[in-house]
Amino acid sequence: MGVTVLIVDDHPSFRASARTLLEAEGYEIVGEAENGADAVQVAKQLRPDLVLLDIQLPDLDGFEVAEQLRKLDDPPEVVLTSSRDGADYGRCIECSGARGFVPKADLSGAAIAALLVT
Amino acid sequence: MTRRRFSGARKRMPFKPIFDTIFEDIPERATPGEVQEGLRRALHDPGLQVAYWYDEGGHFVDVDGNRFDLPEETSDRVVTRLEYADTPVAALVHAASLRDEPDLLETVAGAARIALERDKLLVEVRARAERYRALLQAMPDLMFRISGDGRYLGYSAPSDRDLFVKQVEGLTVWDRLPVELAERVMDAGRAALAQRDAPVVEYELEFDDETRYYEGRFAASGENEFLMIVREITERKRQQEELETSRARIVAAGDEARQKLERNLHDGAQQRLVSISLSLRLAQAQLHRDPAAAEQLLEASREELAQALEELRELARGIHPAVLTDRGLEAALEALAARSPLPVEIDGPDRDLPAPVEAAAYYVVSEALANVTKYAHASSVKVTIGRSNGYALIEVEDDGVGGADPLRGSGLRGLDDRIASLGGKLAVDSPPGVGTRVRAEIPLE
Repeated sequence: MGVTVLIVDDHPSFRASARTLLEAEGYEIVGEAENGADAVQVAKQLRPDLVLLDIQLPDLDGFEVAEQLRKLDDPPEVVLTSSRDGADYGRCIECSGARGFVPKADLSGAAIAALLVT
Repeated sequence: MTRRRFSGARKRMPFKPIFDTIFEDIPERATPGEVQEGLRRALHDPGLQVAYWYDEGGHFVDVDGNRFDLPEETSDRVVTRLEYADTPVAALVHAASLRDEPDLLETVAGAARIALERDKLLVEVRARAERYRALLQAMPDLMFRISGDGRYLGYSAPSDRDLFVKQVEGLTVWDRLPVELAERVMDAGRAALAQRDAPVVEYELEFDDETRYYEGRFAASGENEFLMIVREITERKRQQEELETSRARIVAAGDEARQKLERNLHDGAQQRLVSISLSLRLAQAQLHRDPAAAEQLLEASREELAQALEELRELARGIHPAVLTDRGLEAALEALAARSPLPVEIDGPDRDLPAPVEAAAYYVVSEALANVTKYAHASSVKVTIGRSNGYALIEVEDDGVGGADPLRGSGLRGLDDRIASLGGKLAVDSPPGVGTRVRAEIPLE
């Protein structure tokens, strides 16, 4: 059984690509959400091991969503992602309690695994 | 015209009776009018007029200090100028017959010298006062004479519109003005009296119907009184505020445009490139295991890339239309028309316009066409670019539903600011059911 993942991003094309890519590397995609509020709801229901969380969402931003996820019982690991550079967000990523950040263009199962190990 | 010069020493008077008559007729403390009367009697010429030379004005004045132009000589009336020690003092306009008695005229004029010289000074003061009064009346400012202890001594007001309290004289600044303002006025007045730099006092007053803004300046006008010169600056204030608001809007519009651009880049081309990157990675992974799937992924990536390029082109065009810089307004407008889903008829421009005007014209047409496409339900659009009376005229007219609100979008407001920065005006005329006309006028000088 692979790591269960919830993908949160408002762009369907990214969600589709990320699903294919991660599934090819043995991850189990259990759900998708397209905004922050849904992400928290779906995470409560599905209890995934990991949430791949886009920072720029139409409602809440990824940092706020990460904060809310952290308060859940048995909170999931969070990996933030964005098409922007991680450095654009200064220390926000560090302070968010997330496992780390992967630029969208560099997304791969291996990149996520590397963050989960540390 | 005759000139009579008199030496510094008084001449011996050959006609004693006349000499006496003059001193009888011109009392020692005579007013200028009385001197004239005296000369009339002494010379038996009831129409005689005395005019005094007014150095400061460079002309003659009459006994009341009003400007007096010496008349052309006729067979009846002639002019004799009186100069003492080569300094012009006065002129007599008198009966021509007196010329037959030059000695008489000389004697009388000589005898009247002291009175005339003294009168010249008096009349000059009057002329000067007249001049200052005229100057004061011509000034748009309110002027108050205020004593060192704050009492109004006098005032001059072009109208009573700006008198906060209509009564002035006899009151103090504390009677007429809000207390805080009265204190500022007195501080400035005291500074002026102490020969220090008096501050300019800016203030506002609440009149029944409106707030008006004023600026007061101060100058000492006597040992213990000062002048407060007040000018209304409401219009200037309003323009200043308008300018500041417009500047703030321009800055905000710039920020908004950049934000929109970043958002468009992020949501558009950047997402597509991310997606292409992921697809390529997948294709690479599948290349040997599943070549058909890899090929499909590559094909999808190629399409995605074409769309990303188109989106980038569209964005670049929105930042600045290259065709405008490279090929001019006409070509740029044709390009706009070609991209519009509606038929667009273009009239002009017949000649090149200055670059900022061309850019403004381009954006007016671009924004107006975008609005027509979005809201007007029009079947055609007409664009006219022309010149008239030193103005460039830009007009976009459609045959749609009208009823457009000029302030609906930030687009037209931004254009309004852009055109205002060139000293021009933007007007939107959009009666319901008739269509919309956007018209910009931009001065060319």
